[in-house]
Amino acid sequence: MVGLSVGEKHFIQGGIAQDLRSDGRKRLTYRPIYVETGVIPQAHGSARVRLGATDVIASVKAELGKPSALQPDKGNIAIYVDCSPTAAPMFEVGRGGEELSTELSVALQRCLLGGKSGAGAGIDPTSLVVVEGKVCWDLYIDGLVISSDGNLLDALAAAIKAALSNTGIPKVDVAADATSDEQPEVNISDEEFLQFDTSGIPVIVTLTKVGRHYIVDATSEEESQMSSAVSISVNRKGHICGLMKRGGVGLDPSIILDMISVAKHVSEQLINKLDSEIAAAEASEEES
Amino acid sequence: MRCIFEENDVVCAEVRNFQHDGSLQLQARSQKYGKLEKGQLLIVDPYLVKKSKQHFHHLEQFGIDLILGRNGFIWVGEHVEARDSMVVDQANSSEQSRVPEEKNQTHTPLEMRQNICRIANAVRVLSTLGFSIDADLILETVELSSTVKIDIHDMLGSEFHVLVAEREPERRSLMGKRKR
Repeated sequence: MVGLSVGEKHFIQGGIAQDLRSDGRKRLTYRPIYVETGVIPQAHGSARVRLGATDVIASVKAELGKPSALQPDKGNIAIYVDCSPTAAPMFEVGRGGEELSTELSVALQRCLLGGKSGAGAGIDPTSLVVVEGKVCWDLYIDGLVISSDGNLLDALAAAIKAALSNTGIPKVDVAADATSDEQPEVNISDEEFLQFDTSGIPVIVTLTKVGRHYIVDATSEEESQMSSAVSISVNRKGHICGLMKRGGVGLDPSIILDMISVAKHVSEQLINKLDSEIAAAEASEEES
Repeated sequence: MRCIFEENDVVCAEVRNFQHDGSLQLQARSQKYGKLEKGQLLIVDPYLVKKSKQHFHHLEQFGIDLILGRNGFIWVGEHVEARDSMVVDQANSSEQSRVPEEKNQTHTPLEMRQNICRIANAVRVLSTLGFSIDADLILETVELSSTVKIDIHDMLGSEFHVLVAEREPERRSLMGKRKR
């Protein structure tokens, strides 16, 4: 994206005020979403999501590990995002993309993994345990931003949801005669896989405030005009799983409450659209 | 110079010549050149814009200026009258102080904005499909979108892309016949 002139900025702000953005969208319309699953065959699950010119990939790898002593009945999940230098000019120079990568990783961890005790997580960590206290699955979820045109958080959350739908965790047989002190022997099956139940995984809706109005799914040009942005993670039941605010301008609390109800309303359509796209992607992956 | 142009301003100009070291000399001497405001700038691959007689198009039925730059920068904006150069200098110095305040109040009217968005989306569709971009093709694409009564935003969906692509062989065979 080249810089914007005063005339162009004014045009963008005017469009948002009049509910007709530069590409003809209304304020609360998403760009067309394209989902492909199984794009990384070596991973246990993967997906690629395109939202206009924003292009992200998420991959899920599972390894056997030991649960932490504090929570012996839960597996470990780690989410890490990397911004590829090809995504945007500002990522090319040295550590340009690192700050954004950290911000995205933390935001996704908050939304999908819940609190420190694992309560309220979108992904249930107790389903990852093999032998309580001894063996569990460690999930490594990696997000890669290939091309950035705004709204990275929503795209990454959608990609992670799709990748988890695509994930098959191998079945593990535990040797029956294990004593209580030793590590039990495990036999990882090559054939049978367990699928995750992803209906509880939330989506993220980011509302960007420009002037007096908020828009959903901002492009990088529109994001450059924002005063503040609130990202709200909502699940299928309409419950809020996470909330983040970016941008230096302060917001009146009543505005935040209004944004939350708008995000809830938008998330219903988004979840349905995303689920149908993921189902279609999985179906076409099976055919090929 | 900063009271006239600043960094990131969009300007239309002609290339006068190349220097030995590779830099360009631009000229913007007639009133049809100059700063562009009130519109949007689209960036496509440069090879899609072929050299033609006219690069500045005034689309009268929409009241919109369309400028096809050979560097791939395409401007779609409200029509600006090319003013008489003699009168302008006096008026400009008093106008400049007024213009920033005016901008805060007046936005582009909705119908004009819809036309600008429709034309811009037509350019985006043609760029995605890899077709050479010229004013006639853009106008035909816009007409097609109005004929099938498709929402401005839906022009960027897959169905409209397929429609435009399917219509292209017909169009080219018609053009071939006309030339002969």
